[in-house]
Amino acid sequence: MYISNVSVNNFRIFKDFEVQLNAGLNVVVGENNSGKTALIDAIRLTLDTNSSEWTKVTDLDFHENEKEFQIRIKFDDISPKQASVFVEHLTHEKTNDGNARKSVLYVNLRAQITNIVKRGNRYIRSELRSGARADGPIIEHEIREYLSATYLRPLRDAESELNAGRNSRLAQIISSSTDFKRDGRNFQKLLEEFIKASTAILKNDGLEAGEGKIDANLQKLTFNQDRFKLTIQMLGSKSFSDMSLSEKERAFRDILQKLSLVLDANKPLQGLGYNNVLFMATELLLLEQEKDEFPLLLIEEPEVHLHPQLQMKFLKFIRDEYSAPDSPKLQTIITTHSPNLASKAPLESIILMKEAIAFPMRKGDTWLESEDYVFLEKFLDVTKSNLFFAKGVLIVEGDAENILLPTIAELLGHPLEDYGVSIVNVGNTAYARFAKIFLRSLEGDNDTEENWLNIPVACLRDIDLWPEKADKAIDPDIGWKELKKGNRHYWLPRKDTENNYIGTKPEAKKTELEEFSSQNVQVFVSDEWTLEYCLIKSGLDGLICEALGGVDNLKNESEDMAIQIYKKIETTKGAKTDVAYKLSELLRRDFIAPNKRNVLLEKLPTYIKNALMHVLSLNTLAIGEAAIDVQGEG
Amino acid sequence: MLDHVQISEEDIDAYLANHDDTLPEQKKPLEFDAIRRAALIGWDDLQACPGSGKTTLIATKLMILARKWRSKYQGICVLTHTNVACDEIRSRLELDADGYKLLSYPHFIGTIQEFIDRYIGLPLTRSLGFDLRLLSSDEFESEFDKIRWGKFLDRNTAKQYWFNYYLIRKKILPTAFSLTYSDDGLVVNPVFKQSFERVINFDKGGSIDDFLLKKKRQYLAKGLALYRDMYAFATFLLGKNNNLLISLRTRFPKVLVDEMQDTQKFQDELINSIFECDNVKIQRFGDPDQAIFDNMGGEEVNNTFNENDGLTILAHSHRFSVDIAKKVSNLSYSQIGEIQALAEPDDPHEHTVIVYDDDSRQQVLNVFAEIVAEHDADSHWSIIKAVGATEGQGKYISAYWGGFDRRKSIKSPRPERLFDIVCRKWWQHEEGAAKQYKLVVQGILDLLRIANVMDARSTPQRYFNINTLKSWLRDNEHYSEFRELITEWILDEQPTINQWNGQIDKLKGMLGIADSDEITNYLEHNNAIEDNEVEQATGNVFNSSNGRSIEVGTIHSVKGETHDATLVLETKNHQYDIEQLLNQIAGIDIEKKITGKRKIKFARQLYVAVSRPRHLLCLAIHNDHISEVHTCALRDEGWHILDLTCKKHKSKSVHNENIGKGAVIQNSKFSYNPRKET
Repeated sequence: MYISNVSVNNFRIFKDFEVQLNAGLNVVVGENNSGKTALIDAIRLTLDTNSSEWTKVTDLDFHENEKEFQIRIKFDDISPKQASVFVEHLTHEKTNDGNARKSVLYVNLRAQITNIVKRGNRYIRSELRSGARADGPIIEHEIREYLSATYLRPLRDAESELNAGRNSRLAQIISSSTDFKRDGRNFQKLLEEFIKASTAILKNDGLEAGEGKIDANLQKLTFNQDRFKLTIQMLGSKSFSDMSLSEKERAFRDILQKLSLVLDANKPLQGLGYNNVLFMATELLLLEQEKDEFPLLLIEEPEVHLHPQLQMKFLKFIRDEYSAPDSPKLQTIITTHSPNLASKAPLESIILMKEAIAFPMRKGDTWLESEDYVFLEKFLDVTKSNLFFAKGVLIVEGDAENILLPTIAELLGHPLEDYGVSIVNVGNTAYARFAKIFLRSLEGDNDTEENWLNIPVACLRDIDLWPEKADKAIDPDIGWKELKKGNRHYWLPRKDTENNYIGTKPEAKKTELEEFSSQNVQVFVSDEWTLEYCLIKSGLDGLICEALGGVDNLKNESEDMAIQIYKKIETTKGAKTDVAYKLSELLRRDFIAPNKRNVLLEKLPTYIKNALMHVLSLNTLAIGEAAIDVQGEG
Repeated sequence: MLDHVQISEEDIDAYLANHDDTLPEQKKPLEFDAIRRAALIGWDDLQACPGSGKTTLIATKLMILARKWRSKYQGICVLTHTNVACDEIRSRLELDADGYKLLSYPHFIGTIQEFIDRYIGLPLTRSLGFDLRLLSSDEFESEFDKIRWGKFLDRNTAKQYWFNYYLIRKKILPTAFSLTYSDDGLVVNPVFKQSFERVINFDKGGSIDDFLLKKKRQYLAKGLALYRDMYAFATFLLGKNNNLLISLRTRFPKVLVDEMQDTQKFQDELINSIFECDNVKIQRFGDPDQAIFDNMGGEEVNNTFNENDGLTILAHSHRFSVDIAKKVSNLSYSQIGEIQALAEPDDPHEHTVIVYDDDSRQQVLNVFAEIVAEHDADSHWSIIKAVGATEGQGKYISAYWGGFDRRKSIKSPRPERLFDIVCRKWWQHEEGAAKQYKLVVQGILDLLRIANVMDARSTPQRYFNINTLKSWLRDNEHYSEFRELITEWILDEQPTINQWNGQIDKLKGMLGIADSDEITNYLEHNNAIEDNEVEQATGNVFNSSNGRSIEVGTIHSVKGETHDATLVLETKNHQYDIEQLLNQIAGIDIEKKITGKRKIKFARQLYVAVSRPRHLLCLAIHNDHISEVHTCALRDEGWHILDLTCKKHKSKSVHNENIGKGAVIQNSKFSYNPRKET
């Protein structure tokens, strides 16, 4: 049994929200204020939690000025035994083949803010009902208890929760463990030892003396007719066989509450991090002991107290121990800001939250194919996992772009980090797989802008078509490429030695490369050959030559010159990255002054400018007067 | 799976010890004999004779189980046939700290209908998107015109008639418009389909089944459903969702069924299909001899229990003494054998067969009151009843007393006059102004029907229903006036004759009703009704000439009751019931199993009737139906005979103690000689 669907109306940030959840692991990622906590709280308020926190609807839970909110949680994959607990509340849905029916459970929380004022606050009426349309009976509190989740809140004080005391989790765990069956030996032995100790304690001379003193005062304060016989008592003064069931239970709880869990007795003050790990370990144990019931674990921001490697270990543990895709032991919903956690989570378990909309990365929900998951699982490292937290993503296929674009954006007065834009360098083949993460699989009426993932993604691609003059057979002075059978389609349209037309038209190549331009993902294809070639041609030829340490025998004609410069970049080992770094420094040298921004702008290829505008959600990159001009042209 | 909670002898002892501690002094401590203990521990089905303490036994079993119950999410399921029985069990449990826990989750105590609704039927209909209100047959009938059925061709004349035409003439019965479950899935009850086909020439070019199902769906979409529909839904769902059965069995590992003898066949089959398995312990309690609801509403009663001769028998009655016990045993269809009397021996009472003729029939109740007075001089007895099986068309109960009004024992009565409604005579049955409003409007619709006023706006013209009446009144700008009038009737005091006449004139004017004898009669202001029926309104109570009050009712209405004295009135349903069973009553050939459907039914009804009294049992039989052989045998069985046919009741005659077994009585007329004169 697991929560397969949560739908929410008018609750906090959610006006109209719905998400499908996975049976095992769900890692909810997203920027701040995207609705991660609201999702956890919606579940928490509806199902309640078995930890000691207080969950109660307040007037801040209502979306904007709404008077009513509704949360609907759907449980699926319910075993007959689990269904027996709430058989009167079931909904019997058609199975996929339509011939039979299966049991699912809807739990609906409806809260209304009334005009009745109680203790200075407006009274909130809330109701928990079953049924797909909240038309079932009221859900009994026993059933709610059965459904309640285990909740680990962020920034918790793990130490105090592990310590002895009333609500000690340790006490709960030991109390419900099978090692302490109430009719078993351990239970009886523990209590008998406790009784023995209690009896000894009461015989303590100090206690007896104290008793005597109090008694003396008492005698002075009471009338002779009303004499009392004073004794100091302590729980456990009765013998085991004389104790009633509830007295035994109370004594047992008393003992357990005196216990606390310490990682290492020699280091009593442990760091928050390890205490949290310890805490989570005990919670998981408690969940396992109650495995007959519905195991749901809600964890908010586990990274708060854990250093990155521990975060990854933690997620790996949850993933491997409890969330086997075919038979998960428990359903876990984790919210996180941590790329470390995200990078360890299977892509299918990730749910991206953006502006109060959930975008699960499950198969079928995105354009990703099965083999894409296998690939991405391997290559989604911590750095790349950044893209889940970005407001815009630049996907580039080489080091040059990766190095130059942040500099260019910064020099134009639009630093990428100010816009929350992440740049991901994916190499030349994988860009499509990364782009598909951001493309939702939508059909028909659903394919509307509001269902798209509202993260602008720009993929920069080289058109990679060679000018004829780069062929050394055509122009031995500047060319270095050779026309071969295998590279015929890399050339711009031209004739081969037998006078046949060969090559690829730029428009055709462009269309092919733009295949994934859809929704908020746009592919920006270089106007010519490569990024460097475009930069040379658009006016940065001088700086690039400088970066290369000069290029000999430059011709006057611009294409010739460009080919000459580019030849040096391509034919010198390691020059691509090197030039990018050097160019980056040179750009900084020449264009750091704010008044140089528009000059730089003029020297940039159009596709770069368009990509930046898309990913930054800007209409123009120009500043001041020039900005007005550009806008005017547009 | 939870280990089954088991009851041991020690548990029973512990319960009894605790029970006796809390007992008020004058109460007798509870005792259980070996059979009862076995019934508490085991799960065999039980036949409980009248007064055997069945409810106490069930309640005790439940309380002991509750004491040992540990599971948080599994419960005990207690099923009854009527709400009365379920309330009785609940009221016992309420007072016990452990028993109280059984009144809520995860346990269930309720009727079989409620169980099916709550756990299977309603969850399914909610899943299908219906928001249902379950209606009794009467309610469903009155809501039936909510859906338009359209015009149909008459089967015989090929003429077009409205569907309503057949409804009004009861050619088509709304109450049969239920769902049933067949191999093809959910279908409309074939009985309805047949009645539909009989009068209507269905020529819609499609399947009639599909058409009826579509209509049924429209009713369901409006939230209108029959209780019976739920069983079809339940059977459907159990077939479609295999896991549901496991869930129900897991949830309720223990099931007790009370009033099993009245459980209908389809209910029994469904309950068995759910719970009859290794993992569930089910125990049924009832008395096949008291199965008097057979064939009610055309439904067969179960035979797995009622025809089961392997039931464990509780033949000890706390209710009556040996002399009554013997008389009850004789009428046992299941041949329960001799019922053992556990009650304290009573003073010897003269259980009397009153023999009357047409002239003296009306004296029977007074004579019974006299006999009661003989035995209960100090008027300690408070519950004295006279019961007959059926009033029927022949008015068989009112023949004994003209004041008997069967409508008072019928759940939803229909007023005879409009004034009856306004004078609130009927309102005690109706809760809330909404129902009262409906009743008044129904009265006015009846008036229009009597006056033959039809809705001229429709072709062909139709009688009004609530909606057409309203819109018609609006069209004629009478609506607010009409509302005012109804409001006056509901909110104000009962109108005086002058007010009434004014109101009636207004109403007749509004509706355009011309006077006729029928109309005058229907609109009569009748204060007298209320004055002398105030008392009757509280029930059918006969006040005898010696001042004793005797409640008169049907046997069905006294099921489960205990009386101080009971008079059983002979009534007729094709045949006379007491006459038909005189052999059994007189102890002749009692080894012979009673045969014949009607006779079995009579036996069960009379068994219920004769097992009511604690102290005194009397029968009333017409002298045409009793022979000398029988009177003689009756005396042998310990009956006294009081013959009203030879002398007036007031003159006393002899009860001959000396007539021995097999003696032939020369004179068929017996006389009565009260003891005080001997």
